[in-house]
Amino acid sequence: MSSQRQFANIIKKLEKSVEQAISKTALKNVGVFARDLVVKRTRLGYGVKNDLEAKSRLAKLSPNYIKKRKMFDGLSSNTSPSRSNLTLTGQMLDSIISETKDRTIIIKPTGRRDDGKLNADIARYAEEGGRNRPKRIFLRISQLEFKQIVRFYRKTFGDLLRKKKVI
Amino acid sequence: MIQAKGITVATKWQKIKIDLSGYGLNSDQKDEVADLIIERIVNRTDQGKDKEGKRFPGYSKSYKESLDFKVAGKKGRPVDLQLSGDMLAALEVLDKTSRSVTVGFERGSEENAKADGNIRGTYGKPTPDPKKARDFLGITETELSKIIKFVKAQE
Repeated sequence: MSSQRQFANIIKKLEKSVEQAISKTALKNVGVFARDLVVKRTRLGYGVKNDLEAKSRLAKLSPNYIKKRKMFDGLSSNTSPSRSNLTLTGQMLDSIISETKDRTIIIKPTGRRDDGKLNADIARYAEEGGRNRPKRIFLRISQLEFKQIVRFYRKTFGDLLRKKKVI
Repeated sequence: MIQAKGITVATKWQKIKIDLSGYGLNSDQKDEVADLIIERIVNRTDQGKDKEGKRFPGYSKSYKESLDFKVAGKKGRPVDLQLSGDMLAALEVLDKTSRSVTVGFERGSEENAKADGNIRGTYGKPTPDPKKARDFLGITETELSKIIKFVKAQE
């Protein structure tokens, strides 16, 4: 499984919602907005199992792992020992970027961490889970995030910009 | 119903019915008006104002110091009722008749419960606190007139 997510279907759906083709500049801005939504939602402790479904709480951390986190000096200020939000040092979520290629937005973790591991591998490890480790799927867009993206597009580039005087 | 710390709290279905009779709007225009009413409510809330244009009460000290508040990158002002942004995104047209449109939240949804907490000032507690209430769900006559005038001018 790839640790990067391509959102071509989201763009198609967005274009259908706003009934117009989206320009390259708009696509780039939509990508950054979508990236920020994914990172914020994950930091708040929620994942999304499939695109355009409802978000749900990420699986809880095990008591043993919470103990380890309590002892860990480099714990990010964006988490707490017991909070399940895919944040230990914070490097993986911080590394996530959005790229646009053709008619697709790609949201992906990038680069290498302080410990030499790839952020993409850390994300894949979280999403795939393991024998005693639940899947924590987060690189998706929820239904309500999609609605936020539609609104962002309409407000920034689309018809709502033209209607600014009344709303 | 929502549950918090062993207390079961009844939530109210949050919706508003807006009378559009007498304006001579066709079906498409009513759709457009409903869409713009939602956008007006969201925009006004973005600016930290309630349905009467008054500023929302400030966030509590404990909420401002919470981890959620920090990780969402929020600041004390404006009070825009957005943490994930999902509550306002869930605002939708619930019903349309020949005389009216109803906008609000899906009955029994998590977002309706959040909206209800804000609108009545319950925030998971059994008793509403009007001082803490942030009633964003509504539209003034002036706002509605402006929207209808705009939609009719597009004819």
